[in-house]
Amino acid sequence: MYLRAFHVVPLSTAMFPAVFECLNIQRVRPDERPPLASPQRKGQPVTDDVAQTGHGTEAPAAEEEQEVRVEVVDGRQDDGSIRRAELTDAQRTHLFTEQVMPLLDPLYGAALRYTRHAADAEDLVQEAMAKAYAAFHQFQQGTNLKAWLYRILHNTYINSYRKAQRRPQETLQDTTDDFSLYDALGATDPSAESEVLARLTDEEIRTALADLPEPFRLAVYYADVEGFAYREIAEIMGTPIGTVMSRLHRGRKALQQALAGYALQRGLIDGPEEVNANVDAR
Amino acid sequence: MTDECADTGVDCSEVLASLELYLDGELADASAASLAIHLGECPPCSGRATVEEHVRRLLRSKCSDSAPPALVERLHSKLALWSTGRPA
Repeated sequence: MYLRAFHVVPLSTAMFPAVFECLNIQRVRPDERPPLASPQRKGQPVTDDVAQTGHGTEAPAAEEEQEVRVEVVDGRQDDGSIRRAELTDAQRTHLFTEQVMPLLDPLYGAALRYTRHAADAEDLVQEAMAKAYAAFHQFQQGTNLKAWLYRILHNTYINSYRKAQRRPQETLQDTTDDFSLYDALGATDPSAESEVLARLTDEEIRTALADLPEPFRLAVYYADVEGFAYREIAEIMGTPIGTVMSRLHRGRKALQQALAGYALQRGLIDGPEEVNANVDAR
Repeated sequence: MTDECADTGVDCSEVLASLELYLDGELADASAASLAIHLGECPPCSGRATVEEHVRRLLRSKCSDSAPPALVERLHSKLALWSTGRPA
């Protein structure tokens, strides 16, 4: 439909397989709702390439919300994604510095949940950033940059780190599904639930998340810390939405079970035996 | 807890099955509205929602990390290299 004269991709797919896997995240359909976690909206492509292509009738609807506009020469693919192959090095670096570098904190936070070690997390972020920079001309401005970057981070981790670990996929016990933190906390006094939670230490909260098996840990992190919608988590982790929901549900249950365990150890709540003993004494 | 609420005539187990979706903002508007009404009328369900929200707040506040300054500095240097087309 569009001229492909500008579709110069200066990368070998063999060199950056993880990056090219990321392409599907660009295909945001107009009927999909905007991401919950990002202030950005899907919108008009970043530039008006009508003049370059001569296909004026194919111009996107003008009423679409538009927050980011970058004046560069573009070619567009049939699926609407932008190939900004004409970006100069200086322009690319400027955009990358302006848009990606401010996201280093959350990216490092996510990397920590993948690797669980600070030094490995730094290496992971650095490797993912190199790939993101190399592929930045493929990112469609106005779509969810954070999700795009996390997808690269995820693929980098899978390709470079998890394979090296060769650990069997961890899972959770089935009994976890029936756990109720509300019931566990209510063993003392229903009105004291918030107080018990507030007395847990930062380290206990962080450890409870870190100890979750990987897929559950990441689903909980992306949903509860980063605030991503199920659909976005599915895109980042490359899984169906149903899998995200199941991991999220079971991961949260297991995390709450761990928190209750800490509260029990420190005597903040009564254990089941003590509750039964109190009932028997009456 | 999973019994039918005397006040509302709603089966709490059905409400609790949707609670996670509701708190995640993934429930359709109409369902979310009726669930919100139920939470306003049913203390046990509302108590469970409060605990769930509290844990999410704790995670958000305790598990957000900052990139080490050395990493940020290193990436800015790398960026200068990458932009000149030299290998990282």
